[in-house]
Amino acid sequence: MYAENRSPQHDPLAVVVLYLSRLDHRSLYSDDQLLRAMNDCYASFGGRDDLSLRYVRLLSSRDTEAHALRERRVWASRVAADLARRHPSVHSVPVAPGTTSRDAHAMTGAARRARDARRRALLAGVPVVALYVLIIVSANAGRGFMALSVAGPLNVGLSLGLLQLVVVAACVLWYGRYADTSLDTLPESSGTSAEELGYRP
Amino acid sequence: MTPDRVTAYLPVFAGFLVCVLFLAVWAAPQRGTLSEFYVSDGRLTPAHNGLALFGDVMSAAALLGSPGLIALTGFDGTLSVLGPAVSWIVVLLLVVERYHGKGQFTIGDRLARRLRPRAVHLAAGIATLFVCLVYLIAQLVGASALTVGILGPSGRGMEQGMTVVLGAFMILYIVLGGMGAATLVQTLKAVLLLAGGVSLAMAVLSRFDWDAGALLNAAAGNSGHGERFLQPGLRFGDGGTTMLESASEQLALLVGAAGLPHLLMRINTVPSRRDARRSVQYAALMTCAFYVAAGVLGFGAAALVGTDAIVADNPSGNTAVLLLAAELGGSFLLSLVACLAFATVLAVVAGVALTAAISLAHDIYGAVITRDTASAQRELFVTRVAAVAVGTSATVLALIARNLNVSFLIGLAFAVAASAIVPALLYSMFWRGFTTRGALWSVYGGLATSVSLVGLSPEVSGDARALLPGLDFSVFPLHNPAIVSVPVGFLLGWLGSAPFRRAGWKAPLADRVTTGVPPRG
Repeated sequence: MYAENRSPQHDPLAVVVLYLSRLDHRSLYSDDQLLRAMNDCYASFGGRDDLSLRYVRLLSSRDTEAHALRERRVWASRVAADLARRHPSVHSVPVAPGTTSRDAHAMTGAARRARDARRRALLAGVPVVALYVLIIVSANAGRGFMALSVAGPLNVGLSLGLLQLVVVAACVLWYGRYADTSLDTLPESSGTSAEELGYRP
Repeated sequence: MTPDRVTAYLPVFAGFLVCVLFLAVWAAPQRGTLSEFYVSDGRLTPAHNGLALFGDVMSAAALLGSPGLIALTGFDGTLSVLGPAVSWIVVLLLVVERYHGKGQFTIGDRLARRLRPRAVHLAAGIATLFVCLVYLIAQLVGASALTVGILGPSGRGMEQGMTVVLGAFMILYIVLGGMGAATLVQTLKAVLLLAGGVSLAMAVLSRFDWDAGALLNAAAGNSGHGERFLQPGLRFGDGGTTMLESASEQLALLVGAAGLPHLLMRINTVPSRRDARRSVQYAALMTCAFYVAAGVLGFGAAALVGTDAIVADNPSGNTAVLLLAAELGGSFLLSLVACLAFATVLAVVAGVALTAAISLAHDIYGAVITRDTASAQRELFVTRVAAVAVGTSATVLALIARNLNVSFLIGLAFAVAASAIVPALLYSMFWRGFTTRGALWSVYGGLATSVSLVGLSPEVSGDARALLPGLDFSVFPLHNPAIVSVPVGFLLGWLGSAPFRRAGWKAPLADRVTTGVPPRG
């Protein structure tokens, strides 16, 4: 993740911002603190070019101890990679001054990804309900089919009923895992946040 | 069943009631805040809340009704347990995470997050009260029918007494302990129900050397129907109306569970959306496990007791599990299962009555009458008064309506929840264009449609078994209105919103928030 011999000019913006932030690289911070410090740092510089210039100058200066420099750079790369992994929406671009979080979301496509993820979860419910509809319909219209024997006294109807309970349990377990890993990590959609602001149509 | 068994278990149940009363006092709210009384401060763990949620769904119908239906009608009876299991998927995927909100207690609160508060609180309050009252009456009538079923002819005089006792304890629990006590009773009962149901099913299976095939064969043999017992067709006859009838019933079960106020109430007793989701997961898994056990109990009752003996004891099959328990473990086990059944009714009615009381105090008194100016102490006091009022009127109505068919009442409650509450709830959570007008049209329209269709159905008139057998104004052929009233509820919600949106509605949300476009609709 950190190439020792990579030139400082090629470091991602998040690494640069973290490096130049007021954070101490020997301490631990919450995600919230990290992101806030990154924002403040980004806002205090004129722009991307100023940041890069300052970063490269710092790293190439001779008067600081080389070891401490490298240590902070490694820390910045590690934290940036970790943040990028756990908060895919934040990417390497901290919310820039002057833009709203809504625009930032739109820029990173987070809203679309959130919608897709939620839609996928809803689609998972379709086969469960479809199996249910199948059972109800064939109990009324396909009685010969439901009476076919599977094993001994167990016929298609009874085994479909049992399968339905198993499928419900499987869907519930799957959705729990899916939501833990894929939905909880999504940023709140702008619809929800507007709703919580108290907007009433 | 003989009267000497009466004396064997009634003291046990009385002991249970008093123990739970002590526990309810112990679990009673300490600080006297609304949030503590209404939702236990939202501090339950997901596993605990999931257990209580499971208990809320498992009324006496699940313990006695479903296995009884399976014992009488075989395969067609098993269909009755699939609907409630699948409805958890609807709750889990569509409702639970979006419904959860801190500091919100009722359905009215959820709708008022985006719509004009006073109007939607009134509408949601009326719908909640109606569903809860019908559900309460159904459970209490069921309890009195159960008394007769368990005690036999000697129980005739006691059935009304049982309704009154259950109603009184229900009021006591919730007045004293609020959500804390309701959760406690529900948890106790859910643990007992799950353990009792599963161990009874194990006992049945051990009789057949753990061979499910032998159990099914014996059930088919002793049912008097032979092979047809395991095949569709015993409960529902043929014909197009039957098909529509069963579709309507299943739709009400599937959609209605997502709109039952006492289930929605429980979503807010946990700290976060994630925990709310987990509670529903626990509840759904326990439901699936319990329904497998219920299936074993139903077929076991048919196999060990025999369908003829079950029908001879009670034509609706509600005592099948009790007969099975007597067969397996004598009068001791019978007493335990009977106590479990009454505890089940008590726990469910406590939760439903609490929800109705909170809706009355918070939605109608708090938000509509006093426009949110009442102090917390005053609203809490009103909640307790409302609990007494709701509990008393439900008990009195249950005594008056004791001859009503329980499954008709449950069907009505589910149909109203599905057509009046669910459409407004789903629209407000998923559709940004939904307006207050749409919500009101959908709630009142769904309520009116479902109730009037039931009024015009063969349940009320024009049938020998109807409520008013002498009259005939049954224009609507189905017993359950859901297949018409649920689409009507959704359609009215759309019609009330879409055509009335002004040209400016597409302005970016952020602008509307900052410039403060006034509420409309």
